[in-house]
Amino acid sequence: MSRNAILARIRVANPAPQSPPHEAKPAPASLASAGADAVLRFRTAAEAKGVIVVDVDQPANLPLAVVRTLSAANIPVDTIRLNDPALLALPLSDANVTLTRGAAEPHDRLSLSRAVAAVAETGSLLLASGPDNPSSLAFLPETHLVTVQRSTIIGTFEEAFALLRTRYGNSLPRTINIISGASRTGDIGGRIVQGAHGPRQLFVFII
Amino acid sequence: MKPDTAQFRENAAAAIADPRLQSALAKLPGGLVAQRRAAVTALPEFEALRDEARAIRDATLANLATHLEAFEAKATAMGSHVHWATDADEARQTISNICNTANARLVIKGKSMVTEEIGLNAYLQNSGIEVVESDLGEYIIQKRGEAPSHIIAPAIHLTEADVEADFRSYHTHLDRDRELGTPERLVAEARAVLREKFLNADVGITGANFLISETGSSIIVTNEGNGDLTQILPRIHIVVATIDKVVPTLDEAMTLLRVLARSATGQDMTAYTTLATGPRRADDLDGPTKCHIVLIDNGRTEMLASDMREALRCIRCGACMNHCPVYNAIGGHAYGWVYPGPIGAVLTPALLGITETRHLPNASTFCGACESVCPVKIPLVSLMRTWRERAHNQGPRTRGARILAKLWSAAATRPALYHLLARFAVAIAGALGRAKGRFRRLPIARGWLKHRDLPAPQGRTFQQLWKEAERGVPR
Ligand code: SF4
Repeated sequence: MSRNAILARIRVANPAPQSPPHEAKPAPASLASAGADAVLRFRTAAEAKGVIVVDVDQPANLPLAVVRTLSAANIPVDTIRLNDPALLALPLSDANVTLTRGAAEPHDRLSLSRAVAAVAETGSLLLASGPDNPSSLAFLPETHLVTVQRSTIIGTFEEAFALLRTRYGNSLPRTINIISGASRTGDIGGRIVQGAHGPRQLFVFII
Repeated sequence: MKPDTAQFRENAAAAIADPRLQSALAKLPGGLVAQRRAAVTALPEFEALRDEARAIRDATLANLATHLEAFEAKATAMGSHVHWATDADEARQTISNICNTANARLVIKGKSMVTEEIGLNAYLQNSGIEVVESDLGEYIIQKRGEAPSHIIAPAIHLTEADVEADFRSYHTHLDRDRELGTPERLVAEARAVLREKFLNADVGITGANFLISETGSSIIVTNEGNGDLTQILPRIHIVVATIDKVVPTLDEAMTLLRVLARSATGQDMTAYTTLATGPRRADDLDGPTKCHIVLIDNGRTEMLASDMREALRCIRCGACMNHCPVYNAIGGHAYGWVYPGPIGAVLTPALLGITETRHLPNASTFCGACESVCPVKIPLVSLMRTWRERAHNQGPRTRGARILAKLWSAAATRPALYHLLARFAVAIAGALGRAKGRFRRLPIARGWLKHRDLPAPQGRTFQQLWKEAERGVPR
């Protein structure tokens, strides 16, 4: 059996005694931050990647913030695809927006997801797949909107992984997406173009 | 893809003489070099992270069997099917069987160097399956029937105009008079064409930047999001990875990711870093219903047991080629197979054997730029030197070359004889070149002298001058 043959060859190549297990070091000090500092750092890093970051003072004001932000960016706000109960409970339909539930469909233009956390170190969002937030929402539509709770903006990825361990034990959801900006490519003539296969634009609403 | 490594010298000469390739090369890696430098400067702990990254890779390789078993157990517990393949042939068959069992007609692929290495596309296509690369650069070169010319920027050898001409000839279902003259338009067209493929594909094949034992996950990093669509939309996901990709924990993978993106493109994080763990869950609304992971050896255990072991630390960032003067002059295709640049000059002989690849370790000035930027500190220069020695010891040589080498070693190992001969040669060359102080032409090294002159020696050797200086003789 190939499995055993490969493992046997590795064991021959690695004779005992073997080195002690490696101990992971903490994140570099210059990347760490917390509290208001982390929020500021997240915003700066995300904006440097072309992400539009919007502050929303309370959940009830999200619909208005979405409509205003997209209008300012000349993106028509008609139908939004989402499936997160917490977001569906917001008065989005009062703001003249049609909500469609479920995973993303090929012709969806706008989608809304809720992030588990955001990481200040690189201005990244952490999304976990599941019935409330199918991961196709983050890739099929042209514009992706993401909400993140202000209190879940943390300093480093080590903290983010600790949070995943607390929340999911030792069994992660099918997909964890770490999203750091909109889809892009440099494959044609070396110039960066946004919107290669995924969203052309990414908006983050900090609630 | 069939290796063409034996033709390295001819390929390199042709690459230097190709003005179209030179104009594409002139524009590119320089940008990546500057971006890397900026990212490294912005992170004071970068050097310490390189040491840490190296330590993580070494420790993992030292206990590789244990980590692979742990990965297999966890991935299986999470619902993935783990397969093992000793060589390219077994890997291709395993993947092909999975596709056939699923009655797959269309396979979409994320970017993966190992599937290039095992020649997967041609194999699947021969059995009647349509295979479409979805990374934009890979899509472009797949249509051209070429190998990638760079491990992270596979179409770096092509200009915008090349891509426009290609798209016009492939996408014949589109309006012939359409505007296509900007990268934005070209990207939009590829997006639309590939979107159809994503939606109709039965199987999605991705590589893995890392495999995590702690969680049984694969990690891929992309900027386009193509790898994500590949592993979300089709009903079957196949991860293809070599056995050296395993990393024990998420935290250790993070250290590697921190140096990977910065070394590759100068980003602190690529747009999408994705952990995929098993198939879709019962209550998921999307994702594949089956997930297979194919672990491939194909020469890695041999490397592990050899003096090429350190090359297994490679995380495929591409920095060594971006910084290599030889790569910058000849591009990736001259190397004749899938891995170009300094890492290619080390890895390709290990995977294909030194006989067919004996010229590759010569594709270096030994300037050391590659190892000074390698995020896992692979001693690329000394590994290339080892291959040079091996090529020399077993390579076919002409009688003339053998005699010359014998004479040289006879002189070089006898200092007194060497000095005598050197004095003799330098005195003659000094006398011949005295009038002009330089040689414009010599019976040897014609190519070298085409663009420069050789200064004539002054008539005395360095050793003579040194001794005179020690005695205080004025020059
Ligand atoms: S050898 Fe080092 S620099 Fe070259 S691709 Fe591998 S990790 Fe990057």
